[in-house]
Amino acid sequence: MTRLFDIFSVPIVVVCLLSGCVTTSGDGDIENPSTDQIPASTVQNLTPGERPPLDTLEGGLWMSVEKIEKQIKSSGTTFRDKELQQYVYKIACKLAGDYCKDIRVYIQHLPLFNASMYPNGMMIVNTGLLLRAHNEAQLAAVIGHEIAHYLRRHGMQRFRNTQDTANALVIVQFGLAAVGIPGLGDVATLIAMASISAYSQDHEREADRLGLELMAKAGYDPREASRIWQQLIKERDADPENKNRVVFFASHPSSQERADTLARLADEVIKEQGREGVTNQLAYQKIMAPRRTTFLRDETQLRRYARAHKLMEMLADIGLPKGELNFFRGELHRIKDEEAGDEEDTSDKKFTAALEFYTKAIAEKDYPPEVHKYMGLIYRKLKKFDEARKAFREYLRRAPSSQDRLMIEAIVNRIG
Amino acid sequence: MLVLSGCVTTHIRNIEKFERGPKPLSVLFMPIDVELSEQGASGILEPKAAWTEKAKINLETGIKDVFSGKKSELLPYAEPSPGSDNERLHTQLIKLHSAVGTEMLFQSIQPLPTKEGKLTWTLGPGVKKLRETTKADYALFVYMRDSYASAGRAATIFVAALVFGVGLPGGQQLGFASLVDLRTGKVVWFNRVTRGTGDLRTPEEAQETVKVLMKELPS
Repeated sequence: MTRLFDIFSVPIVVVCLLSGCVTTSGDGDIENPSTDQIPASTVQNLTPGERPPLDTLEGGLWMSVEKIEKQIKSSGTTFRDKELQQYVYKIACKLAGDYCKDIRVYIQHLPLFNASMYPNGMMIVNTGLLLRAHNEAQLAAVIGHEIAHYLRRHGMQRFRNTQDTANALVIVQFGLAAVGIPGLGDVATLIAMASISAYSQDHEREADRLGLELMAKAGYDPREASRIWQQLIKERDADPENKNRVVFFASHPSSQERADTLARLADEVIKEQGREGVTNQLAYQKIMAPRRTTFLRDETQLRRYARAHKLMEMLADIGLPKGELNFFRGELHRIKDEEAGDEEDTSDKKFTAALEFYTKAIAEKDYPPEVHKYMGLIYRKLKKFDEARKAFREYLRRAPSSQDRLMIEAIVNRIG
Repeated sequence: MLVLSGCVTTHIRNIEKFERGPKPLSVLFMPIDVELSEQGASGILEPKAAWTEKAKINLETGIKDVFSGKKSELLPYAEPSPGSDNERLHTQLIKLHSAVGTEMLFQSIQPLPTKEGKLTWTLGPGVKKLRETTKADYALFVYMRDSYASAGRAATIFVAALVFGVGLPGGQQLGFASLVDLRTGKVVWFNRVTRGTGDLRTPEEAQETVKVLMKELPS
């Protein structure tokens, strides 16, 4: 059966090779050697509207990716929100200039910080990125990076490099095995894999630099590029499980290196242009406001408690509504305590932190009415029935047409 | 393994006969999901667009020829308008067929005993929409992947066999076709091709592949 699986697994490998992502595994703590000098590349940019001929490697890759795009279009993970899609596309257009028509943006309903670009101009933006970006300039920094992958045809270059490296590897392995040292073939494999990773790191650095130039040219403050990475580092460092990362095979430079390089480059660009540019934070957060509840709910469901707390703390720091953020921080505690199990545990500690955050939430002017429902559910579990009844009634008063009205009324009746 | 490594092998699961009414039955010809690629020395597949275009035309012509000798009518597929619900549905159905068909293919080689040799696969009630819009009784789904060994790959295979006595796979032809009842979603007929020969780039050889794939299609 293995051979059959081979046949089917190859297209999946192709997909991974094809897309340039903002971030994958390369969040290592060890610094990679900084290469400010991007290796001179002989690959020309695509011209606007250009389609590669069918009989070329690039034409073949486009064909494969167009099939993927068709599926993405009809996929259940695509976040169907015309207004949001148009907003993100407009930013992409502004950055892409003459290439605007060559790029399509698809928003994916995935609570992870990522975006990716395929060789044919299909760009994927995750909702997790939209939640994490503090302003339009930060989103533009990521989009600019992705557009740079497209312009510089990194997908095609990476495929060719992987192909060449793998082909060379076969020859090396055969050579070594033929002279009776097959074990060394594994070392050759490791070296080859690391070389593919290093090659793709060079692309990331090139995309970082070109992306920064694009965002600055479009009038955004280029310093925000470094800031979004710093935010990500803070979030990552909050996670106690985030240790012992493998950097040998990392396809992306470390986040710290990227943040430092981008900050330095931004200062240079500002000096050159003689202006700092805008962040458009208000406009950005106005668009995100009605969607934020969904995005925050997604984050709580990932069960990455420490990271999510840090993320929400940072969002509160830039002035986003504390009622909603504290509700979801309460949710993180509630879910964690419930996952811990042990139904008999009615000690003081359980749900205390959740209730504290819910209480903080309702002290705000604006907060989701669900806070009262979850308070009620916790009080009921803690057998504090008076408080539970009061909380449920407050929930029904504030959300009279909620879908779970009948269920909540039934619960209230049962506890008397 | 054995089945795949060498010669022409097909497997026909002709489960149900067409229930005939007074009218000739119509079969909607879904777009063929085909991709041709070249296998490099290491085995990585490079997708080939120009070859794929040719293969698509060759397969379509071949299948139309097969139907010209049958009582049932092959309905051409009309592309739904871009962004429409129908476009979404069709894309997902073709994708679903590639997933379900892959499993049918595995099981045609290594059957699950609990299936008792019956063809009990379905694409689900979602296909009813196809019947509503096209009035077709059945739909024909075809999935085809074909790869060709590059010169480098041929050398690798040669050395591997000569020096190490290991048989590495070269180019492979792998495909399957299903006939789906649009009233129920049930797959009523399934056949596959898995072999190391064949060339979809030329009309003659593509026709031969179609013949193998469409063998004993109910008429």
